[in-house]
Amino acid sequence: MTGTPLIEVRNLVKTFEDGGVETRVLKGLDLTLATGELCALVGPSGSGKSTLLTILGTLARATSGRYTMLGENLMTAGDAALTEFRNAHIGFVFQFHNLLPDFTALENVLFPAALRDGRQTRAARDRARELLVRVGLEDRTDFRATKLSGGQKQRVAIARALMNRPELVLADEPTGSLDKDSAEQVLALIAEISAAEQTSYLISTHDDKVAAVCRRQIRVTNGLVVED
Amino acid sequence: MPFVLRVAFRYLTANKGQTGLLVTGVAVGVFVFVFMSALIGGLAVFLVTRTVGDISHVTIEAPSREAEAIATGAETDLLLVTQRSSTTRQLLRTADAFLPTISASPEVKAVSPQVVGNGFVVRGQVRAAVGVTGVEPDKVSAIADLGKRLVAGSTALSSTTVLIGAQLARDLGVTIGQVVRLQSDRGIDRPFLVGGLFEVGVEALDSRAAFVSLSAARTLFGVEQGLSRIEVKLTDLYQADAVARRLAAETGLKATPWTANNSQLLDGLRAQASSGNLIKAFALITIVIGVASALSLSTYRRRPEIGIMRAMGASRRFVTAVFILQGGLIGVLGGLIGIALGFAALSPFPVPELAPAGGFPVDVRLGAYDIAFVLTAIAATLASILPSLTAARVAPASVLTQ
Repeated sequence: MTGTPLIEVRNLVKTFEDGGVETRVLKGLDLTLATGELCALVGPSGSGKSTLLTILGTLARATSGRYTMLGENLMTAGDAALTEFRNAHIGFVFQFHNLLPDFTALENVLFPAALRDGRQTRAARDRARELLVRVGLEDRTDFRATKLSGGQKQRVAIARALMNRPELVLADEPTGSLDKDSAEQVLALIAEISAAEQTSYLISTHDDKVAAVCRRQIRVTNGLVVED
Repeated sequence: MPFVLRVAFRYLTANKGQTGLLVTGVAVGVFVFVFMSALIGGLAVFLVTRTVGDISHVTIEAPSREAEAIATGAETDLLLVTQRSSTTRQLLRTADAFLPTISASPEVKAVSPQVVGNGFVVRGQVRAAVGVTGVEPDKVSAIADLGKRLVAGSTALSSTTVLIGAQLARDLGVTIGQVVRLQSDRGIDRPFLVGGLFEVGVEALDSRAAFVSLSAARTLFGVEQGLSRIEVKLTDLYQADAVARRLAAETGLKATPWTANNSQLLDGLRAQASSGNLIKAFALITIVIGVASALSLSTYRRRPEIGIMRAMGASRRFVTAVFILQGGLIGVLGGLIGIALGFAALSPFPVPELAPAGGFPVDVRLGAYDIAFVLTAIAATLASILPSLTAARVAPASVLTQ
């Protein structure tokens, strides 16, 4: 581990209930992540990786346990506070990029800042352009998301995740839907940006190449961290 | 521009075909609303103008005299009262004092002091019962616009000319320039020259009315002073009740508004207005259902995007606002287009007061454009509340399962 602790998770439990049947996906998981770390979250399907990402990303709540980020107890925060926290401190890169199809590449990148500011500011526009240049899409800024290739979309998604200068970027199989070349480009980009900025990355992946890029690998099996 | 408005705009413009259809649906609803308002309102104006336009809006007469006690005995049950006279006329003896007050009222368009009575028009062996109205010569058309309804001759009245209905002239077999005799119920008989023939379209006037000068009427009915009644025409005939109450209070005379004798017409107009309101309500309900269903569909279709927005930090309030604004924008746009279409469709029709007989009595002035616009904007906004709340409930975690 390098740097100061960014997130601390202790005894995290997540239980789903369906038709009166309870399924415990996370079974008392412990995890600490420091600022600036590039971590891979590996493990078999159904091990609880995605569930852990949704909880760390404040997209869902744990059933019990303790989760703090930047010293804030996120287990007790209300929906509005979590939404604001997520916008300011967490970026997401999803497997299927999940861009907003009716918006341009620039507007997609701008979106988190516009949500924060209530409007599209000039400073945010400059930042979004700068990020698109950084991911090599300066000639695609005004293209609709639907007009971009898979690799381009994922690069826009990375730029969007970085827009509000978050402390943590959560990525769920970021190269899972890409061809080999695009996957390598995206991976190189993540490694480059991670090295350049004090942003922590937690990347859920089945891909050994992706895991190999990360300095730290966390293996989750059956709802618990079994190797770190 | 606020970002939430920008997103709402983008969603509306992203699918122009669907938005266009939705706005068209709203516009059609507003068009129906505007057209029905103009039709119901125009029909009311048409009916009122045709039935009430040529009669007095407020009629001022001498107050009915209460039975006057002559003697009462403290130790007897006998009560003596005077019987209402059947031989003396109820006259406004001090009418001259009130005329300036009445004429000065801002709501009053015209005042016609009159001496009226019953009599016969006689031509040879033919007699016809008529109501004789004595008016000031320059006020022949003050109440019923006889000038416009004249079919022959002129409305100029002298002390020896009479205006009669065209039907009455046919019944008597007379025409302009011929002499008839007028016999009043006071037994006074005078010859008159037929100066003009009118056709109002109301049998009571066309067959049984005769207009003479006020001085001639005074002679015929033996009224040297005072008036039988004062007929008042208002600029806004719907003010008749209020004006009648005020004039009665100010003069102490009996003031009867036209509404007192036309309750059936008013009932009919009210029923007509209720029917129109029902149709307008259905038009609004159609708008609400249309907007609500379209936005519900849009919400369902955009669930993945809503999840993405939520993941990026869009609050529930933001998502709710995006969809409510879409409803509001659809309402505003559809409302404006519907109003414009309604106005354009109604404009070629003449207003009911000028509409020819058998014309389409719509009134472009009564399209209720402001009400249609406001109600539509509100209805479309309200219709979007349920879909927007559904959208706001989309869990941000759902984005990871897409």
